[in-house]
Amino acid sequence: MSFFAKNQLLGAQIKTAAVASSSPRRRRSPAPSDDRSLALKTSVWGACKKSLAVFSISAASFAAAGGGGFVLLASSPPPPVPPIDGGGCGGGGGWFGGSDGGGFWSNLLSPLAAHAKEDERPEWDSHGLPANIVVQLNKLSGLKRYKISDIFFFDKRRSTIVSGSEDSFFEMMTLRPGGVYTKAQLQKELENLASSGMFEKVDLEGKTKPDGTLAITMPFTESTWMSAESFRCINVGLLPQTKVMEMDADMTEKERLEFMRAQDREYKKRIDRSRPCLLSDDVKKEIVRMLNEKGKLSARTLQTIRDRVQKWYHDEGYACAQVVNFGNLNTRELVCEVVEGDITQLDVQFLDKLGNTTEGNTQLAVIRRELPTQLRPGHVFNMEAGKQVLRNMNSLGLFSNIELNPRPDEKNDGGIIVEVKLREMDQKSAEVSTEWSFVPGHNGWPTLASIQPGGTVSLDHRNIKGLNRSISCSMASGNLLNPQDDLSFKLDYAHPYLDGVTNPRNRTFRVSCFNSRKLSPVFTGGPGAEEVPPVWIDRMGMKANVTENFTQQSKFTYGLVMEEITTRDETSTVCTHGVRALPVGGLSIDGPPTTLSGTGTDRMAFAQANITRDKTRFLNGAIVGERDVFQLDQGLGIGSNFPFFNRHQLTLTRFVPLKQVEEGTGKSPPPVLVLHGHYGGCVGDLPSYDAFTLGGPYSVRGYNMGELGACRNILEVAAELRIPVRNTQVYFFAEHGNDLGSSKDVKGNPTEFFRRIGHGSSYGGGIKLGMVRAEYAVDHNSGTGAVFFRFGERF
Amino acid sequence: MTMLDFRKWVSNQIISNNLLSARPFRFFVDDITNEEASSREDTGSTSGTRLARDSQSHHIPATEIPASQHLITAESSQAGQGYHDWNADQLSKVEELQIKFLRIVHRMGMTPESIIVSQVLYRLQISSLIRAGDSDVKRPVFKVNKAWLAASQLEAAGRPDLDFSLRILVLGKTGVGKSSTINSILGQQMLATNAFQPATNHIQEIVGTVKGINVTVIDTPGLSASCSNMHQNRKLLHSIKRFVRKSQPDVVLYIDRLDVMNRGYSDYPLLKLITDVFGSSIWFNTVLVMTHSSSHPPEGPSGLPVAYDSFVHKCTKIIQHYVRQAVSNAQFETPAVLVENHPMCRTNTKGEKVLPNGQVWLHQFLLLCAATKVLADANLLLKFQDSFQLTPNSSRPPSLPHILSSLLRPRSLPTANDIDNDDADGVLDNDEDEDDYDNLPPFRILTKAQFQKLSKVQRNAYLDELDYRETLYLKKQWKEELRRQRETMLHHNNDSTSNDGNEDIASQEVMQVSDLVIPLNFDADYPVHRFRCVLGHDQWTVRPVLDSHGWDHDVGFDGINLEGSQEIRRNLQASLFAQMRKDKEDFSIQSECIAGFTDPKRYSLLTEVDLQTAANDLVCTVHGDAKFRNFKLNTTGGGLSVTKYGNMYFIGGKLENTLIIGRRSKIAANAGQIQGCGQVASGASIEATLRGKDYPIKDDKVTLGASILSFNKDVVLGGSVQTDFKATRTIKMSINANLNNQGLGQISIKTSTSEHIEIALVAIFSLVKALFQRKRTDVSVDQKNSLGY
Repeated sequence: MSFFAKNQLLGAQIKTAAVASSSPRRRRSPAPSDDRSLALKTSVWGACKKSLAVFSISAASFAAAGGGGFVLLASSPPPPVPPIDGGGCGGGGGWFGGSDGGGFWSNLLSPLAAHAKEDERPEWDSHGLPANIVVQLNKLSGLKRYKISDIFFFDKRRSTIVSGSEDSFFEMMTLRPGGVYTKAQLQKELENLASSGMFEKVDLEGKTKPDGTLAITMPFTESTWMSAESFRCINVGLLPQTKVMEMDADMTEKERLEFMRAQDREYKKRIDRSRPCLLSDDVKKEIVRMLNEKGKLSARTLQTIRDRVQKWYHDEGYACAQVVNFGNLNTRELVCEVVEGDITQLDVQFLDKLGNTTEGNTQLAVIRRELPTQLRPGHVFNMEAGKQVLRNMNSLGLFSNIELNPRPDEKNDGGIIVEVKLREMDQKSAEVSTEWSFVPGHNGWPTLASIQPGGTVSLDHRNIKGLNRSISCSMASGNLLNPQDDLSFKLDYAHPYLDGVTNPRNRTFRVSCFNSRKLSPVFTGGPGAEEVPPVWIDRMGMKANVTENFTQQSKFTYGLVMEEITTRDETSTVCTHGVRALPVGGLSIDGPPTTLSGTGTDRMAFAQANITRDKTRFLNGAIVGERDVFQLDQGLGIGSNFPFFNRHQLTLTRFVPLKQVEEGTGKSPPPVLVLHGHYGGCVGDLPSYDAFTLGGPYSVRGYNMGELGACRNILEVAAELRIPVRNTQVYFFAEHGNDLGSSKDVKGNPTEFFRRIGHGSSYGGGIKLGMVRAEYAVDHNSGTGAVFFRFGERF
Repeated sequence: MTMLDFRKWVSNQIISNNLLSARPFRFFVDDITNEEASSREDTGSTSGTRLARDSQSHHIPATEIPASQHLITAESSQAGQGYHDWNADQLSKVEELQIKFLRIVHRMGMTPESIIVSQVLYRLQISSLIRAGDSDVKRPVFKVNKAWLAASQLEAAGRPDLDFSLRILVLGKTGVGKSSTINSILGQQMLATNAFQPATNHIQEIVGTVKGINVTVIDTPGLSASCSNMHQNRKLLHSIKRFVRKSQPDVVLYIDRLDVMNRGYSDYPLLKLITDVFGSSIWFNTVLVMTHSSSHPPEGPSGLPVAYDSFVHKCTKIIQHYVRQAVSNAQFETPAVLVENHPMCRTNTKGEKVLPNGQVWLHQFLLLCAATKVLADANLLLKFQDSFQLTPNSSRPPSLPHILSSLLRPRSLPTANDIDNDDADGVLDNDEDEDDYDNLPPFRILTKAQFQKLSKVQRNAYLDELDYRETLYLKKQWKEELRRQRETMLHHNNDSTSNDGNEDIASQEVMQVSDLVIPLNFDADYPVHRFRCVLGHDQWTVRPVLDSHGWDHDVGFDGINLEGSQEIRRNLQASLFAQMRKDKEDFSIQSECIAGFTDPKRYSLLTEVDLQTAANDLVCTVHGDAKFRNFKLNTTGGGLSVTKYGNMYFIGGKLENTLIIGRRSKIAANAGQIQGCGQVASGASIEATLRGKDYPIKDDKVTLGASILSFNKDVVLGGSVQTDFKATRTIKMSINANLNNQGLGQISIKTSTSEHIEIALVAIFSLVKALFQRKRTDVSVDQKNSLGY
């Protein structure tokens, strides 16, 4: 009874396994009450386990997402490592309360319970009697093993045969048609049914069949009680178990009355002491309606009520909630007693590779931050909260295996201990790989091309001081000892919980130092134009910032950036101006300047901020809500040519559901209208590599990156209509991007120099295939369309 | 003509020889750009070659060309009989065409010796000769002189019945003088013109007669030069296309102004658009018309006006350059003609408008149009249009050794556990002989404080013990898993119908995936929200492919990686791996689709389809593979593959054998051959693997391999060594080396550790070194700068 998500060392792929139920459920024996409650518990935990196990699979890919780089979202079959069984489904108490006259019943057995018997011994004995004789149970031979061919329930009161194997009676039976049973087993089964509380009287008769098998008929009278008018649901979890006093057979009438009254009083007290239920009023009303319709309360009605109540709990994620008893029968008010699954204790454990409990490196405070209040003692255990824990833990990226295990509390009846078992990943890892090449030397003998190796070095140090601080570095070069232009490096330090690990304020400090070489979308040609020689933007520098998370998605980031920008041409020599091929051959060199300083290299420092208010959420798989992002780059006048500038952008996106839909698993998402606006503006010294570019998958779809122009002010508007079709979404969109006439203000007017228009619209449609968008977008300037495949969303 | 003369003739030619390649103008013809990409070493020789190619005749050496006319005429005198009717018919029609053409030439007051005329005639000669040769026609091929004589006689007789009509389509930007040109050609003001505003706003046909030729001109509204109106241009061109669909024009005029041409000429998008709409075949029938040609050339760099002829030459070159780009062919040339429509234009004594260089432009113009049409008609008659090959000549045959190595690569289905069943058998069969985790004595895990107190030796012993236990533990778990799998397999065998309803419920669970990590950048933007998603319920794994050299200010998730596998039926499994990228223009895909049937005891069959883009072509490989387990420890297999690349097919086959020796070693050998396109490559390899004793928990192993490859009489022998091992408890090493007999090779050493992270200090050395180097270059650049300024 456990589930876990196993993270492999590097976190690139996380594999999961869910454990199947270990012990075959025991047949219910009629005798001791704890045994009965055990059976009850088993099925409770069975329910919990099932849903949690389901979840753990999904947990897999989160961590995968953390793997970085580009290998993400892996969900692959489990590795050859067997899961660890979470342990026994221990006893613990259900409570059985009597009430006047009606007695009690409690019944919970899943239809799965009986399968164990079947395959054991297929041989059976013929009854050896003439056909079509009714045989009482006690007349059957104790030595024979009878094969049961049919089972019928016969309602004596209505003189009808209850049929349909999905009926609740059959659910309770462990006997199955076709099974082979001894007399003792049949007897036990009968006792079992008789004590279930469902029947006032129940019997078992066999009818011999010509082929040697028995058809079983069970004549019964169903237990019924007075009709009730109102319905009450109480939480009896954590209430001390009251002793059930057996009624003495030889009590006088008066004594019996007295006893009943006492019991009644006690029950009242118990109701008063109990806590209110989480059950919604709608369900209560529904049940009251049902009570009124049905009139007399029969056992089967109670069973229906029980199922309805339990269904509500399980749908709401209270997987451990269980109806344990109906009390106050034969009164006006029906009382439904529920153990909701109150958490009594939260236990965090660290496991080593061998599954032993050890001390962890991670500080407990770090883990406690991630546990939602719903999972703290005193709350009712909820699946959603459980999933939240897994998600949060996974996003920490510290654990290779996270297991959440709700376990019945032996000391507190109906209580639940939530165990969180964590397996930490290796804190440190380093890798050095080197490479030498052989080339033919003189005489054709292989010789080393260079004694200096090329290769990569990477280093990771996670969870420093148990506070989830991490350093990661990597470096790659064709010549490690004497790196040239091809050196690429990355150094990243993250320091979470800047305000202290116990402070609820969640700020993370991060310093990174790295380089990158990318193509400039400013220096590209317009539609259908001849090839423009590319300009590479080499950036190198550091970035230090503080991120404050308001919620999981909304955050505020501010920091400083220092970078050196070098622009290079195709041959990777530093260039100062954009170029264009001339018809007579050769290149024009009068293009727009690539840098502010004009030397091909700029250095600058500026402040940067980004504030994101993201209230989007997934409604049955479709995004709804709103997201606003404001970004700011403020030049400080430090750097080449003392650049002083301000670059600001505001992005507003609305996801409007066009239909009210019910939220829930398997429900269809609503059609959504997405409205999007983006404005950007610049003031001051703006180098061309930082100009806004129009066109591209995240600007105006249907155009190439930068195909529409490069400008200082930018306005983009877009609308998209998403319609759910089957399991996926079809969408239609129209968007427009405009430079607001600001292209000419960019130095050298790269928009015009490369024959671009500066504005453009597009429209089209597409389909989402998982995370992939396949769309057909028509570029309105030229009137032609093209098919695109993209990963992720546009907005 | 001497060789030298000929050269000069070629280089001075404004009207290209390619005129001769004019052919029926078909709008709906497929793009033939590729065909045009054929490399031709000499423009002079092309005319002959291009037509001759089909009939397998060889290049006519350039020197022969001047002589060829005599040759043909000489040959043509041989009379013959018994020829094919059809061909004779066609040839006589061509002859008629020739006479018609010569009549026009006569009317223009030119002689057959003039450049355009001689080329056309030559071209006609050659093509008729080829056709005649094709069908053993022994009839005299037309004599130019005779035809000229006939034409002159007809003209002298004043016979007006010249049955020749021209249908001309006029295209061009607004305001370049399309309507004016038409007026000038027809000699009367048929159309309204306006120098400043677009005067034509719909497509119209004008009919007239010029010098006895019936001329039908289709005037069209002007195209807009600005690239923002491409959409309208496209619409307009499509409507023109519809207009001329029924009766297609013989000649297309692309009109532009001579006086506005300069280096910054920017109509390329327009030319490209015309190509897109009409197909590049339109340029075969196009004559470039330069209006306003009597305007004065601009001043050259010296301050003096450029010479008229060189100015014209330069302008024509520019526009021809762009046309060439539009059809993506470096050799293609469209003829150009100069036009002046201004009423004040200089005229000669006959009242005909003349250009500054003294030419009567109308004659030149009509002659070009007529030549274009005559050649097109001749082509149509002689069915030469079919001789244009559509095969891309650019595609090189792929490297056979590569295909071979992909053929030889052992293939297997990605199964749930990576371990072969063969290996698993061995392990399970004799698993009791070793230490078992359960049999280990109890062991106390120390707390951190306790561990600190241990001496160094004790610590090591403790850690070693832990390590040992871990290995056993993992081994135990692995075995259990294996057993369970086998049980479920047996279970499945017993009742394959039992279906778990639980899985469906499970698959519907929806969960938001935590945010993707985005590569570091200097932007203020964190577009994680674009990649947020709920967990899909399909078995496909989709991942982005990072292009680290993508666009600046962009994340760079440009490609898509798709992986998935599915069990179709019991023992039948299919899997797909694909990586693709589709942008506005470029498309690339690399995919592998495998379907395999496995009988666990005896044999397995695999089919694989690979798709891959190489340049503009798709390489498609179908591969079939079969393996039989003929003995308990020996597996023999073979495979066949067919690779298609462009029009080329490569067929290959292989044989392989795998022998398992003991529990930990394996020898695999294979041999294969691939052939296609007249080439053969064959190769063989043998590989021996010895695994560590804790396999598969720890993947220590040594692999030795040798391979031989022969291709094009080259034989390459190669050897390789690969070893993975644990150097100490925490350091893993992997060494790879390979070398071949050509002296090429590589050694790579990989070290990874979870404890001694000091090894990463190498990086600091490199970084510091790099920093110093930058400093030095900076200083030197600064010095240079300071010296320079």
